[in-house]
Amino acid sequence: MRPSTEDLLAVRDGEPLDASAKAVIESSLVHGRGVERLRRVQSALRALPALEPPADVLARVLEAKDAREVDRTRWLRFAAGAGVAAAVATAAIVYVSSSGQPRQPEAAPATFVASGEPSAPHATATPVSYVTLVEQSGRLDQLLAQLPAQRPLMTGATASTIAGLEDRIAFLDEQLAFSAAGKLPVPQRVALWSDRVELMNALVSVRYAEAQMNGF
Amino acid sequence: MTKPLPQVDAALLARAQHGDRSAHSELYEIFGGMVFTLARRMLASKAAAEDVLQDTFIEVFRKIGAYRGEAELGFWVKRIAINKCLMQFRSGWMSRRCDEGEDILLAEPARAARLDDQIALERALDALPDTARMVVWLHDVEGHTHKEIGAMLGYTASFSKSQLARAHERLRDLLEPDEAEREADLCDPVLKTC
Repeated sequence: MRPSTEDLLAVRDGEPLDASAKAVIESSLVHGRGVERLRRVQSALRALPALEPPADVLARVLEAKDAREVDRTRWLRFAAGAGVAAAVATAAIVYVSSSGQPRQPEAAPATFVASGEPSAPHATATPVSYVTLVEQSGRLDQLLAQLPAQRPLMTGATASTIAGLEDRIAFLDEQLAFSAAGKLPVPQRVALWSDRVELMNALVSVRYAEAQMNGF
Repeated sequence: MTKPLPQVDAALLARAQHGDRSAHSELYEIFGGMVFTLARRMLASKAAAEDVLQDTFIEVFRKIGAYRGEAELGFWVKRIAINKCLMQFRSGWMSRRCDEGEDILLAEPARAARLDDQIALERALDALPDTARMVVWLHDVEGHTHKEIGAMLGYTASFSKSQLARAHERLRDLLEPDEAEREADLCDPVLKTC
C-alpha cells in the first residue's frame, strides 16, 4: 500500500490516521523521509521574511477615515436640519391653516349653512368643518406649489416617501371626485377631506425639508 | 509553532479607541507588515494585497472602539485581514488580476531550486492554485485547523486536507523535481513498489 500525501501530512501533524497506514509510514525509510520533507517545507514557509507594506497605503487609509468622518458629520447635520425643517414646516402649515379663519370649537356640533333652495346635498347641509377642511386643503396645495421643484437627485427614502404620499393623495382625489357627484354621504366626504389635509400636511413637510436642504 | 503576534500597550490601544490619529498610525506601523505579508502570501498579488491592507485598516480603525480585548489585538486584526483576503478570493476577479512587472513565476517552475532558497519558495508558493495556496498558508503558517479552514472557505475539513496535500505535492514538483521523480520511481502505484 502506498500512503498518500494526506497520510504523510496526518503523521506530520499528529492527526488521527488509520493504524495500518501509520504503521507502513513509520516502518519505511522512504516515507519517513517524505514526512521529514513536509516538515522542512512547513518550517521554510514559516521562515519566509515579513514584507514591508507600501508606504502610501497608510495615507490612503487615513484619508478614507477622514472622508468617512466628514460624511458622518454631514449626515448628522442633514438629520438635524431635516428635523428642524419639518418642525418649521408643520408650524407654518398650522399658522397658515388657522390664519384668517374663524376658529370653530373642536367639540362644537357641526353647524350647517342654511340655503334657500335645496340643490346639491353639500350646498344645503354643509358642515363648517367640511368647508374648513376644503379650504385648508386648498391652502396646502398653494403652499406646495410655491416650493421649488424636486431635485432630480435625492435620497431613495425621500423620493419614495414623496411618491407614496402623492399616490395616496391622487387616490383620495379620485374618491373626492366621485363624492362630488353626490354619491357619498357628507360624513364620509368630511372623512376624505380630513385624510387629504393630513396627507397634504405630510407632503408639504417632506418637500419643505427637502427644499431646505437645497438652500430654499 | 506560529510566529508570536506583535503586542500593543493599553495606553496606545485607548488612544486608538478614542480616534487619535497618531495612535492609528502607530497601529499601522505595528501590524501593517503582518497584514501585508499575510495578504501577499495568500493572494499572490501585490495589488490585491495592497487592497486588503487598506480595507483591513479602514475596518480596524472603524471598529476599534468596539474592541473589548476578547482576543489579542493582533489576532483580532489578523482575523479581519483573513476575512478581507477571503472576500477578495470569493469576488472571483482576484484570480484574473495580473500584476504587471511583478516577479511572479506562474508558468515556469523554479527549476532545481533548493528548499532553503526563499525566493524560489516564494515563487513556488505564488505558482500554486489559489485555493491550495490559501490552505497551505492558513494551515502550515497561521496554524488554523482543517475544520476552521473548511468553514472559512465554505467547504469541509476533508476539502481542506486534500487541498493541503495538493499544495505540498505541487511545491515538491516545483522545488525538488529530482526528489519528486525519485519518489515516483520508488513508489509506482501501478506496480505497487511502495
